[in-house]
Amino acid sequence: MTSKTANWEFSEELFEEYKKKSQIAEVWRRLKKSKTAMLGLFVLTTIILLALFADLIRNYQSMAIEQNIMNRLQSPNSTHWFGTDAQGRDLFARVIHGARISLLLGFSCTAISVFVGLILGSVAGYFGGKIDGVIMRILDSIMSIPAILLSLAIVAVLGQSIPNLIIAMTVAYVPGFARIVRASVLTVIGNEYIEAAKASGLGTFRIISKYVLPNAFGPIIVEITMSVASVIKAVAGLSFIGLGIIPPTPEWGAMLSESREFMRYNPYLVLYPGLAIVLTSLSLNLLGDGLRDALDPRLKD
Amino acid sequence: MSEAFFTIQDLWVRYVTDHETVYAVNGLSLSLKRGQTLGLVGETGAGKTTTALSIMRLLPPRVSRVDQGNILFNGVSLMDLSEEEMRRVRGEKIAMIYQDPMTSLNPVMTVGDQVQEVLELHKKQSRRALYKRVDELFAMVGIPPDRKKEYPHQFSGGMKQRIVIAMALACEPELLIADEPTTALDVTIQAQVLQMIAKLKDELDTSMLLITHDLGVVAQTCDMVAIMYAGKIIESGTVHDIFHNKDHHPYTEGLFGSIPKLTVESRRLSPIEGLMPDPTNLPDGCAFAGRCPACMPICMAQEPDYCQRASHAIKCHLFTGENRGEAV
Ligand SMILES: Nc1ncnc2c1ncn2[C@@H]1O[C@H](COP(=O)(O)OP(=O)(O)OP(=O)(O)O)[C@@H](O)[C@H]1O
Ligand SMILES: [Mg+2]
Repeated sequence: MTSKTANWEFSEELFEEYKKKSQIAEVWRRLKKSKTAMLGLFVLTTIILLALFADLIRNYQSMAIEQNIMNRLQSPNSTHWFGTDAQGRDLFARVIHGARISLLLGFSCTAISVFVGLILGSVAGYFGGKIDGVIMRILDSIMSIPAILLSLAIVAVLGQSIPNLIIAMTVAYVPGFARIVRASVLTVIGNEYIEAAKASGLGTFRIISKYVLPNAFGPIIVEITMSVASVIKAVAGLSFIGLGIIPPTPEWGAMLSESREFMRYNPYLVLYPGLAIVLTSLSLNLLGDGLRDALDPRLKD
Repeated sequence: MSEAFFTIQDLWVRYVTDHETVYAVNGLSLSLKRGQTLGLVGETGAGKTTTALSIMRLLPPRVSRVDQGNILFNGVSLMDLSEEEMRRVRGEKIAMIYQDPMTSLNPVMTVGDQVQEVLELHKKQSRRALYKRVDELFAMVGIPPDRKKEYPHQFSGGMKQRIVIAMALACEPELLIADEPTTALDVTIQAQVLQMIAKLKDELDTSMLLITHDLGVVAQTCDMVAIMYAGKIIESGTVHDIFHNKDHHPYTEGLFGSIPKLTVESRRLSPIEGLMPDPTNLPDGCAFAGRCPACMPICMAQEPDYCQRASHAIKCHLFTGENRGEAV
């Protein structure tokens, strides 16, 4: 064919070059090209940094926890950037400290449910038959219970604490993920490259992790980015009925439900925690979209 | 060289679904000698892919049933291997090329990684040797190795099929099963790819089971031919037997009749009348009887045996029993 193939020499330089190449660097290079994904990453990083360094910015005990009735319901001003709540606590302090718990809950619940959902969904979709039947029927029966009732029951049984809250939310979120993963897996496994991979002697685990899931990732990523915000909102629901975060601990969802009585005349009380949830969710969405495109080589450049 | 290292003995495969039972392979036997290419020819639905998948033990698990038969590879029955052992056979000892190169590569992995993966799986070697081997394989199939970091969609169909060939030959398998490897390619590329397969298999001393419905391809590349109809081999022999002997199964005659001949002047093609019998409800006698221009009463009632003449075997009543000699 071409002269390039006829006298191809394998050289030391080539070896060095091949050694360097990495999949992650490649995905990052492509991700960087998307302005919206970079914006999402920037906003998300800012929120995470604010949460991490919240103690340096506003004192937790004196600003976010202790009541100060003298200062109650102040509109945003130069000392209280986001105003103060009905107990006179600085809303900015509560938002950045609340980010810790909200992000912790949002990310950990999502991460655990994605992990479990990936395993259950891909096993069900890949193997089909009886395994599929058993897994999906169990998940269906979990899904048939309203998520909030289910979490409520679990928290009521296990006791009210953050780890128990995470367990409760995860149980409620796994079935949804597993369904989406299963559906995406089913669209992929009919492809000839899956057969070809089996014919090359690849094992089931490798086929699922390198051939099936990467090709099924689009819808899964979208679901992941939506779920962080949805977990935060669900925690708000639980806090509302007194089974979520125990006051006065700041948490975005809880802050929303605490301010319901005052929001008519003091709308900033819901504006800032609400904005925090929206920004987190939006930035994750932008990042997720960019990541999905960066992971798909067909959309390259 | 002369001993058959690969044989299929009396293989029966059914597909059982909720609605029906498809009898896809019905007592198929064939054998292959080292270094040879066997062309498995038959029209659509004859059970060619089913045969190939039975060899690889990759039949769809829930619907397929292997009722009978044995597949011997170097004296070992593939049917008796554990799944773990079978996985080591796949890709290393027996490799398979699928029909459609457009979809037989993973779209999210670089082509280099895909070739490399097969090697890593079966042959332990140093990084350096591994990378070098991948480059060699690309060069071997005529693709510049610096393109190995590209993704499948960046290649043409013919190039993809060559990459698939590189993958299949990566571990120098003893047997290569090619299921209509060129059907999806256009005619000029077909010839190139076939030539390449034929050349490489000779270099690597690989035997090949070439599945096709193109007699022209068989004439060019095969040593042996087996003609398949409704899940059985109805005629087999060397390429010379099939292309030059006088006597043939009427179905084979029909196959030859359905391709235009340059030497004989004929106004019309004469394709075989009718369709293959319904695989869910096969007739009692010879499966071809319903379409056969030379059909006799016995054909409807009793299945014919093979009439063996040296390397040439024909499964037809015309050549067995009292009819022997009254050939068409
Ligand atoms: N998964 C399946 N479930 C049910 N029936 C099947 C299945 N796969 C194949 N069959 C049936 O088995 C018979 C043989 O099919 P097979 O794919 O082996 O034919 P083939 O000779 O490869 O045909 P082609 O030239 O079209 O590829 C056909 O009647 C087909 O409909
Ligand atoms: Mg086929």
